[in-house]
Amino acid sequence: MSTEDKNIQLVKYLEGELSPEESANLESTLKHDPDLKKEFQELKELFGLLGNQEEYLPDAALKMEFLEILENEKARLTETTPIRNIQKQGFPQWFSVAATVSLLLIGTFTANWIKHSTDQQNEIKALKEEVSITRKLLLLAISDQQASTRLEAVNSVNKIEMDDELVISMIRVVKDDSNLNVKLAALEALKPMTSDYRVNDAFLKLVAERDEPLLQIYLIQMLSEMEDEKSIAAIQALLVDENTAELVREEAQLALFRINKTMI
Amino acid sequence: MKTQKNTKKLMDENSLMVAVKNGDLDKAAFIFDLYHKRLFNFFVRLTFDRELSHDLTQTVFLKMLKYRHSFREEMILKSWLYQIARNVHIDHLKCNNIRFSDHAATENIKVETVKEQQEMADKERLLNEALARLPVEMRELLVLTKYQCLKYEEIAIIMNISVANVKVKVHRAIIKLKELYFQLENH
Repeated sequence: MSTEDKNIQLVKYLEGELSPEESANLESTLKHDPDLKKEFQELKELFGLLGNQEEYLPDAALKMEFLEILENEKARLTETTPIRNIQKQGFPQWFSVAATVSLLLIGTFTANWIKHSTDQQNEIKALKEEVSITRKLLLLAISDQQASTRLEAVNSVNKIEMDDELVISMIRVVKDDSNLNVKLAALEALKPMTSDYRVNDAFLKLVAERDEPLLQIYLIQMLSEMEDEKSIAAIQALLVDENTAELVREEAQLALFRINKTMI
Repeated sequence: MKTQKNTKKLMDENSLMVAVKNGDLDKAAFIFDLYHKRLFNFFVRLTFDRELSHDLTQTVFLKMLKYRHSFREEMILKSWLYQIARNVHIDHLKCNNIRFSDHAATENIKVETVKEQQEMADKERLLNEALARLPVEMRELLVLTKYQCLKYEEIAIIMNISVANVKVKVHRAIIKLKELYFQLENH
């Protein structure tokens, strides 16, 4: 048996492809053949390494891009071309030709006249559609299982105008997301929306929740910038509450100090 | 019992693709979730380039949508996707004038991978280098068997060769890899 054949036997042995009899023969040879044993040890080491695999994770953008492609494909499918059943009316041929020419002339004139405004309308329509698709993709990504995908989505929210659904979803993220970084990013994204009563109400309720002091600190900072009565009252309530974490209490004191200073 | 489960799983996957073929494109997102990580890893192990693997993976799913009408119910989705992936990889090699029998030059390993490798054990780094030096076909076979854990039968369908031929090729690839690995280790 050549060296290559012997090596192939060893590979088959490690792959579990030899019969019990062949395996026993090989094991017996291994005991008396140091060169073959060395080959065997090396192959064994290699097999151990090959089994020890690390999975590479693709970027979240891969999924976002695919979902966008999918939406485009779906939109393309739903575009239907109306098919008209033109029935012959029995007009003479010259009449049809004349009518066609007239229609073409009228069509060209009208087309030129309305082209400019139609282009603009189409452009606006396309933009609206694009924003709508982006919103849908964002909503989908915000509820993704992977925190990195959610974080990326939440960080992208400010690039588009938020509609009601998106605002409500972002409030839900601040309340319920399992990852603190995602919550904080959502909070940051909602910062320009504090005049919205839903955002305001949510902030006032969440600042009293003691589960996450870091989130409370961020909320105190935001509320203190608003400087309205309800916000000040919510911050003062934290000082009164004896269960408030020490760090949160310090932040609340600082915030009230800043507010008083600006009021003076 | 396990075989029954596997068969059912493959049938479920197939029905997803049949739905896509019949116009229910939302099901394509499920197929993407099932396979994108596997295919991405397949390409990373072949090309040692994350960015390129990202693009190649996306191309596979683009082709899946584009050629959905060519999927037949008797096909196996997994094999069909890997066939597309192989063709996408071969197209990439052709575009870059790399022959299928060529081995990847180690300088082709991009910075990102090197960075990731810094965190790996020395032996794993050596193994990757040895894999990179293998001819593409051998590397592809080892990635499919050892990293993607595909059966010889599945690979035979993907590569359109006999199971016996797959076995012979895998055995040779392992021996070649071992030679390269220990050459590098003793260097």
